[in-house]
Amino acid sequence: MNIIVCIKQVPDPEIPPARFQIDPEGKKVLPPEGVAPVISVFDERAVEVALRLKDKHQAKVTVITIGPPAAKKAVRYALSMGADTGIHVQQDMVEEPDSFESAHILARAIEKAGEYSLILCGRQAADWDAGQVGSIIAENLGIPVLTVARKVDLIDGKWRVESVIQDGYRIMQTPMPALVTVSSEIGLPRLPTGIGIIKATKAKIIEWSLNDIGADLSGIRRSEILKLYIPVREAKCHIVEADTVPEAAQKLALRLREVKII
Amino acid sequence: MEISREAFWNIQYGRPVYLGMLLLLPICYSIYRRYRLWSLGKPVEKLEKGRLGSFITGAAKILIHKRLLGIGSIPSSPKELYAGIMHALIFAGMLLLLLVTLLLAVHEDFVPFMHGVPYLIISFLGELGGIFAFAGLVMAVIRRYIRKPERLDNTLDDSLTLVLLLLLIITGFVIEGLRISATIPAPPWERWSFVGFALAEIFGLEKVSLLRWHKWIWWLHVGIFYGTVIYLCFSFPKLFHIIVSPINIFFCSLRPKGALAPIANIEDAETFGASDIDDFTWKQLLDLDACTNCGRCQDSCPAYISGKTLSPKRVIRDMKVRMEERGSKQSVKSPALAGEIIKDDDIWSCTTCRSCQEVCPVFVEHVDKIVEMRRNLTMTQSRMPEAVQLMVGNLFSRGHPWTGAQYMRLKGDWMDGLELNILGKEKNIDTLLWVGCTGALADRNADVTRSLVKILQSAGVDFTVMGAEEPCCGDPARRIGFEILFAEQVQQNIEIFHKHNVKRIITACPHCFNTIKNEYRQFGGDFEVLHHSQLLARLLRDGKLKITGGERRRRVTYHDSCYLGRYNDIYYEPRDILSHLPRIETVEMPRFGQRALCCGGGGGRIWMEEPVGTKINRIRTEEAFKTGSEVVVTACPFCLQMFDEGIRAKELDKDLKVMDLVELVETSMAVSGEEIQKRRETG
Amino acid sequence: MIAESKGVMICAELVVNGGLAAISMELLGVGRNLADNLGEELSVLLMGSEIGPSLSLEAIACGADRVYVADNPLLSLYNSDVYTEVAAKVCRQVKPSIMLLGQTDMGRDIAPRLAARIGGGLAMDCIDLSIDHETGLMLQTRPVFGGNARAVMVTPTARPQMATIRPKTMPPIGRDETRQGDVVSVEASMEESVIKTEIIEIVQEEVTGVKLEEADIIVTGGRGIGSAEGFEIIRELSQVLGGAVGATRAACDEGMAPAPIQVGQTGKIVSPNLYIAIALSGAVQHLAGCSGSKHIVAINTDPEAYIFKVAEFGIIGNYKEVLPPLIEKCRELLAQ
Repeated sequence: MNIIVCIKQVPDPEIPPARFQIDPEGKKVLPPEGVAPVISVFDERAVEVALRLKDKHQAKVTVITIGPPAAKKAVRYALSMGADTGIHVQQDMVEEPDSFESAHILARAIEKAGEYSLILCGRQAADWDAGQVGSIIAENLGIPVLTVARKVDLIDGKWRVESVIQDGYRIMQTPMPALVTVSSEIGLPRLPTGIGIIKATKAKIIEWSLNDIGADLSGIRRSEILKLYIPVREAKCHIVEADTVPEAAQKLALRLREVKII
Repeated sequence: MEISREAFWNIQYGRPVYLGMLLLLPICYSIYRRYRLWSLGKPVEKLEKGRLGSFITGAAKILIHKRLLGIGSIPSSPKELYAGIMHALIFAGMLLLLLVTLLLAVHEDFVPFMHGVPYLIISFLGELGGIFAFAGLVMAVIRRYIRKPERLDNTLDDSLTLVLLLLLIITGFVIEGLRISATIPAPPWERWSFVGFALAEIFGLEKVSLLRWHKWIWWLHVGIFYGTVIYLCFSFPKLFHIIVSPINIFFCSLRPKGALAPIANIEDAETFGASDIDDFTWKQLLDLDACTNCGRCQDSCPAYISGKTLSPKRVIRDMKVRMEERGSKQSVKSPALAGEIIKDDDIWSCTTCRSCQEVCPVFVEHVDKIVEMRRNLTMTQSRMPEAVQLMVGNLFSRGHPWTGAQYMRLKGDWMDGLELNILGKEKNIDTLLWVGCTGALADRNADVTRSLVKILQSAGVDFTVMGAEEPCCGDPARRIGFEILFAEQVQQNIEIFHKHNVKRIITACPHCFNTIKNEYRQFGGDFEVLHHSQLLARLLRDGKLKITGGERRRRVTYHDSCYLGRYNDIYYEPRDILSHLPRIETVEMPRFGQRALCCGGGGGRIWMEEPVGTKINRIRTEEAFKTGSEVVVTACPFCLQMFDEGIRAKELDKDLKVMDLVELVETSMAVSGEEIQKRRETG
Repeated sequence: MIAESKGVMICAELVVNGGLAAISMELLGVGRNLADNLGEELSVLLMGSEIGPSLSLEAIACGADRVYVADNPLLSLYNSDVYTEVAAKVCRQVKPSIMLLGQTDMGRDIAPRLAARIGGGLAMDCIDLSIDHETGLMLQTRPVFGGNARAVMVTPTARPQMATIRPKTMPPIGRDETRQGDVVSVEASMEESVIKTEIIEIVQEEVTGVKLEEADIIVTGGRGIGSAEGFEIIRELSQVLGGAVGATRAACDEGMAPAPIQVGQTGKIVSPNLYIAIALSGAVQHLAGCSGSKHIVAINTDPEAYIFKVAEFGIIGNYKEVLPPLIEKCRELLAQ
């Protein structure tokens, strides 16, 4: 059984918020110096789901990523968690692809990668937070899609998925092949193992160009970014001070009462 | 009558005693048998130069009982001294007796020289030998069976050894007494054999009985001696150390103290580290036989004394038992050594402080064996505590060991507001200030980095920094056993250093210091590396640091960090610096210098949980507090964090604070911004 | 294609007992605004089973010009395959220029599939929608990078221009009983083969206390709380204020708090009226979860903590010392 996971490499979300900078002209984020990008958090969990299924049902897990050469690091990370094969689709377009372009490229890569029973994606990318690519890939490939999964099982040859809904979860079932987007409710992803890191360091990652996979992006793009900005927070923090800590606490309570917050 | 005595006096058919030389056979055979066990291990590098020299110095150290008596290091406690003297007495006593007996044989069969004064002297020495040995043995009996120190386990082997040796000595004196008694009136020179002489007075028997007793006990004495030697060969392990320990010292590691062995051909390896006996080198297995279960390592192990189950003595002993098991039945494979016979918890409890190795009288190396097992656990078996896994994951994806949002700084943040030369931008400066991950990422340690920078700038030292691009030195990866990340990181770092022509590296972190200085050369990187204490001591001596007043009298105590002290023998420089600071009174903690107690942070432990027993850092904090000091001074970022935590946890923050050496120096310097500017301008 | 598309359509959601969900009102509100701006019609798509006529009237009263009702037993329980197919059918028929859904369980599930199927462009989780006067395009403003930045997007040529709106960000308009509108019935049957997914069960989880996403007041503890026991006092404060308890990822990772109450990028996204951030520094991925709060109060020992840059009020101090008197005073004030 083959499982494919689509992963994305994003700027490290663990940087101090004060260091978050954007390039308004180029409409992209400027990651601070010396900070390496990491695998998107939801994609990491998608890999985890794939590995859990691999543990139970003997599957082969392939990860695919699109991006500049640096994106291979995300693939190596997934390999170090336990994935079997890594594919990197070279893409260094000046402008970030929109969800449809990304989905198109991934769909072509998936088709080239071969047969699959399940495709897993993170529910949204930790950078642009769009949350569309998974579903669009499914539509592109003509397979059913189940979103925001907190659990994925294989029962009687069908995929049984528990999706997060507001007050609980919805249990659904769909035939193979299908696409599932994964949410953080699946739990903590496993950490890279020693053997995993060694294998990942030595592994040969398959490299494809857009031509190799027959991706033709003309007319695919549907959205444009007009403006990217950091919202200015005008509110300046009013630090409540007093001679003693209890007094300060009381002052705060009163202040909140004054402005009717409590 | 000439001053001498007849050999084999009263003993007919004494010559056959020389057949005792045949005892060399079982001795050789037993060595061979053990050799077979040691060769279960892997071959080791060929003999390097300097080995003979190290053997001679090693032998000298043993003769003067350097480690047992604590010579040249801080004074031992009375208990330790007792044990040291006890061994010295037995050692010296037996040696003297052996010497005297040999000389007697030489005199008898080769060169008859033992007349007159030589005879008296040798006789006297013999007496001394016997008394020393007897006194030592009695001390041993008292210690082992009455005092019963915790670190000794009393086995049959121990009792037998003591009994045999005591009998040997006693029978020896009795024989002498009987002989002298039988020759009463004794020639006056026999007084030189004073014990025998005294005993002779007691034996008021008939001459005939005396002769008979003499003969029997003489042969008994011989029998006991042979018995002891055969016991040594086949039953040991206690007595066997007489033979193995010198061999062990001859083959002791010539690597710098702080360096662990690399893995050869790591790229092609399928398995890593040691999962069982045959994965160790034969030298490491030889170590196991040198151990006499004395337990000094256990007594000084911070993990053991703080209530963890790790005991270095038990690790060595369990490994030795395993080696014997494997030696007898080649096919026995399970259970494995790493993780099963030696528990995971024990392997991870080690802080790599090296105090076990520092006190071991027979130069057993414990730390490298534990790290070999860690290598196997992490890289082959993928078995490690979650904290270690997080660390490894972070090292792999972010390139430094500090995980999580708690380390909110970026690597270059500490430089805010400082004017610094960045490596690569300034071509002419060949000195690099290596900040280290902790000094860059952790708030409290970044303060130290900035202090150091200010001091260096005010002293006119030219240096570059790598800033945000600075990678990890690799030490955390190697210490937790993840050698492959270490090898990769070191090679990358050496390339960067070579590319930018870095010749000299200054660092504030003893771990970075140790690894770059002692371990990078395993990968072809040879640089002059200085810890800040060494550099500051030098600057002080050369008058480049302007020490002004101290604010007020302060009592401080200096904590020797393991990687600076035991690993690199840097004890003096930090104390030298402290002695130059005005109004600073330095007191020592009970365990200082070579005997300093680890802060608990080394060996990757600063990133791990410590659920069992008391936390090591709190024990050490208590020790610092009890000196009555206001400040505990360290020279290591991990020690700083450990003391910080300890002080907060024990709520001692009103009484005690922890500072790095440079911070303390800075307070005595009152370096101003103008000063730095002025220096820069005048060059 | 562009020329043919006209009008604003919203996909309404129903609640279990058959009424219009709150999100539907918000959709109607913003939809009405956009439609008025464009001078075009606002239509509503109602999907369900046994939908009474009152719902359509309700929709019209709240701003719709036309209601398309797809009433079919297949639509009784939300099923992605079915709903997407019906919505696609209606969109192909009606050809709206703008199609809006809620960023809800249903909306975020259908929207991308729908967009892919009918050729529209999509922006998810928008917090503001407006019409650009020059181009006539819908400007879609949405948070990105965990809420640290905002992007304004447009769909130049693909139609419809689609967006999902974040709940509680766009106000509904007032009810007007006198408003007039049409109701159109839509055929909602389909081939069985279209429906691949089967719904097996819907599990409601028991939630004790106030749910994070609904809470008006949230008290969150961070890593600085130090231990699971430390969270007791957080709970006490939340109880006194009648709010919910949250935790940062760091606190959850270290076992101080259970994972379901994690607020942040990989946890819950919340937008309460009052958010009290205690002993937490304000990491990027945490702020992603709480930056929608109206008022933020921070308590932290570190004056440099980033949270103070986004908070309205703050106290620099140890929570162990600050909270007990704060709780007392709040109790006192709320009793009055």
